[in-house]
Amino acid sequence: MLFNSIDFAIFFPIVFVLYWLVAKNLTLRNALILGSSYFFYGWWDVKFLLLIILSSFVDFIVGKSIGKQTNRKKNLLFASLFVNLGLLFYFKYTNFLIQSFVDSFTFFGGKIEVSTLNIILPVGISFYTFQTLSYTIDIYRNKLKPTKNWLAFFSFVAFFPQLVAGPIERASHLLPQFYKTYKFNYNQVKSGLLLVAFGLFKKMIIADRAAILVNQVYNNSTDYNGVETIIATILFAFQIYCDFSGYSDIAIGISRTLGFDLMKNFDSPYFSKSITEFWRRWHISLSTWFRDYVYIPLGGSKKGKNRTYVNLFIVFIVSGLWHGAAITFLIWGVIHGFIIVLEKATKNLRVNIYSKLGLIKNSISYKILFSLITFTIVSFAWIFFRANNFKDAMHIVNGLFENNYIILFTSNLYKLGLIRSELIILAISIISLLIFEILNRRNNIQVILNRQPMFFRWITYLLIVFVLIIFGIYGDNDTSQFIYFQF
Amino acid sequence: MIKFYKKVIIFFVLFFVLLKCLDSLIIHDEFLHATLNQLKDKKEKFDFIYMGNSLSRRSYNVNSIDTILNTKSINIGSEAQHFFITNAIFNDFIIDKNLHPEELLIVTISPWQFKNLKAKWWQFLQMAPLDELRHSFKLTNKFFSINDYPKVYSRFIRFHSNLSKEIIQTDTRRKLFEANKPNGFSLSIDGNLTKKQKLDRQNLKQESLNYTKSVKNSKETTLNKDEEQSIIDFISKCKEHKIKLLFITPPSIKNIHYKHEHGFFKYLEILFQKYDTNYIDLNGYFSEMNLTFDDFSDYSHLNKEGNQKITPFLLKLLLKKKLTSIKPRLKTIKKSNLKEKPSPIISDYKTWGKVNSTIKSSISDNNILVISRTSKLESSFVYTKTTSLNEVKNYSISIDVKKGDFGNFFGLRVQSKYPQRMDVVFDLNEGETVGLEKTGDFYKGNTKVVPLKDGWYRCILNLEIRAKEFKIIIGPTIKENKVTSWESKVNNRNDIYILPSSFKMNEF
Repeated sequence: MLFNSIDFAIFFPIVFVLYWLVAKNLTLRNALILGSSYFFYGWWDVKFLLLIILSSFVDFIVGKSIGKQTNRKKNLLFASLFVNLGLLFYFKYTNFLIQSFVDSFTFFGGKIEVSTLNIILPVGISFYTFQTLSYTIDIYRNKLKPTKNWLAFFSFVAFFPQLVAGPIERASHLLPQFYKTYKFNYNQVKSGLLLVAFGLFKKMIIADRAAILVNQVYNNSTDYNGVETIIATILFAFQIYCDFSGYSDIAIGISRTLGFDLMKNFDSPYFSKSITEFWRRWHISLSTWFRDYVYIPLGGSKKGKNRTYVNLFIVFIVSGLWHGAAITFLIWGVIHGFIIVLEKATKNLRVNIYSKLGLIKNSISYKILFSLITFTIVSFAWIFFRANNFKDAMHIVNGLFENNYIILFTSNLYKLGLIRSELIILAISIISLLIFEILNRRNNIQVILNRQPMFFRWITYLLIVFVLIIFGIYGDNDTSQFIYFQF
Repeated sequence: MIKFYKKVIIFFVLFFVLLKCLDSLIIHDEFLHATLNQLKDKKEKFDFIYMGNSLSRRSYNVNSIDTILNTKSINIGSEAQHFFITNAIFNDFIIDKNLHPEELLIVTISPWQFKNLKAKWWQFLQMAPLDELRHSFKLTNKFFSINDYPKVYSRFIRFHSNLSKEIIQTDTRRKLFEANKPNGFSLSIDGNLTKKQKLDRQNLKQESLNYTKSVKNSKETTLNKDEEQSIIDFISKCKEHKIKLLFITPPSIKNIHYKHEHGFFKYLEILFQKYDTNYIDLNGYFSEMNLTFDDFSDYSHLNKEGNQKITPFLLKLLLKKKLTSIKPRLKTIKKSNLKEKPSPIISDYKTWGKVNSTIKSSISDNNILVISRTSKLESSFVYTKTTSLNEVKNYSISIDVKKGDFGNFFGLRVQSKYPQRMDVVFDLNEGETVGLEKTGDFYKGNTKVVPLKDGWYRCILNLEIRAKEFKIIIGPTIKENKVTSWESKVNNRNDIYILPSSFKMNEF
């Protein structure tokens, strides 16, 4: 069930009303959350419900056992890792490994005929697997006590707002919220709904509109180059941001209407002044997960400079592969890993250069310059993330330098899938989003809105809904899917 | 919680009321919605029904044809209409015998009507006609899967991307349409080729002369099975229902220029011959119709001028090929229908209104008037009576003016419903235009200042008016005032001399 679908528009109000009817009874409330979460997930494919139940069951039992045992803790943790990562590897990487094996064999002149398996990737498996893993690992590290409440735990794993695309919640943050009841809070519900509307704005008006042009160019990469690919790449940067952060906003907003608090997943990442900062603002729940469960166990920054660089590099390669089993995702991870290592290694040198050049860190010119540089690097890396395959990605990279800027001044610009008015809407929406993010960082716009007279607020709410339905993109299966569902 | 639910209910009631109001404002480009309703409400029987894409919409001025023939016609062509959709619309109305044309069904056929429907943009373009077929999805499904298209929850939502355009234009356009059909037609066929476009196709004349030969020598370009079958079905259904059918390819620079399309026209000729169906390719009559670049709004579509040329030619062809039996009705043409309406008289200053102004005869000559401001602090001007207009027209407004004893700037405004207007300010010392500004309803504005004797100037404003009614506002102004608010406050006494008898408004 997609958040931007009529199905969800029917599903959620029903769940919302029932939820607040039973909110005082914890067991009934958690049962409702679990039931509706399974219904939400089963809407895609009922079969995959078994996986999520299995994953929840294994981690609930393992968590409890680790809590009791002292000598078999490691074995139990491995059991949990084996089941969870095993399922993830099977569904996500089997075909990639088979294909890579065949390709390497062929590369060295060998001949082998192995066909890939017909495996469908269950929606959101990477997200809930990481979420449940954090539970068992934290218990193993004595950072968390195992829960005895299976209903709360199963609800925590399957919590429908963030089940399929995060934020990847830690058990220590989300699980305790299933132990207590909430009172209906009008302001909290309103704030949640506004966040949902903001998420839908990002998704339906910006991401899905940009997707039309991006898909046209990236799916026919040999037909386009130069300015066309630059436009498509920049738009993809906004598409993926609005798509994913839009989903996160909706997830956080929906949870908030039910009284739950989910972690922040994005923090205006395109205003970052370095790639290191970018990763502190982009997909925060995943980057902190990798920090806590991969980077730190590898030794983090405590084993010398070189080892720190290697650890960072490993984290980004793993991060690339987490997104997808393809060489393009691997390259995307390598680019980010390389730049982060480079930033770390040249930190002192850069500080010296900047001070000699008179660049003041807090000046607007510094912020604009380095935000643009970071955005350019991030956008370049997105080429590999978005391209359908390595060949396409290389074609796009080569085509970037074609001099056909004249297209900007001709009607050919409108032949990339979006007509003039649609491009104008897209440009205005992106600029509005950036302005909103700048203003929102200074003053919480929701708080300002709440201070306004009722008439103004209602006009604003109606306007938001009408803007969504007038300018939103609907029903096109190519674009309305959330990108991160595939991971 | 109850408070929240109450608010939600109120919000949704408000939302749906607003949605409903906005929904009713939506009509499609090219009036397809209105024309289909006109056809289906069965208030009148039609002699000719025109169908097809924008070529149909823009090539046949039904009002002009009906005036000449004293017939009743309707054009249900629409922008970018795929032939499958044309076929679906046809299947939709063919069921009802009362909707059949009395004389002839004229269907436009061109290569663009057979574009691949898989392209998203092309699918989007089909939405307007599709929305009209809400009760005939089954028919539409015959040709392609309706599931490929976004669902319709509201007309408003369906046409979201066109909404800004629709909201601005719909009200005026609908009223114009309801008041007088040809206005809608005129609106859709404005425009001319640019110099560059003309240069790029400078061989048009030669190409048009060679067209027929080129088609003859081309290798047939066949359509795919489904497409061909849809044409054949169309023909057989017409035969079954005893409807006289004519396929026409209207003239287009594209068709003449692109030789690779010529095989398609050869294919059509063979196909229609095979199925004994009437077909006229008007591209073969370019020189007979005396078509030039000035008759096209782009490479595909005729403009007003082109339309005036094609209409009599087409009628002659219909009569010559005995495709209609309307000839006897020609006798009943009311001559008055063909007479041009006189331009409104605006020179009678006694009918003018005054706002903080006086109009007095000049001491030296009774024919000359002095318009003076009576207030420095408030807006001052004089205005003509409101002139009603039922169609889009081009006017040339001219008046002889001389600088006053206090001031040498003259303001002229053509205004419909405020703030829709066009403003112009003339400098009567230098004999030049200071500026021209427009806000909706008025287009293609240009000015001219012709020096006359004794410091008089003829100030001319040419413009296109798309408003239902308008008035002309004139008065003295000063250099410091903006063009768009020339009538606003001044810092000194301010007047101007005018010759009311020279105040004219001529249609061109």
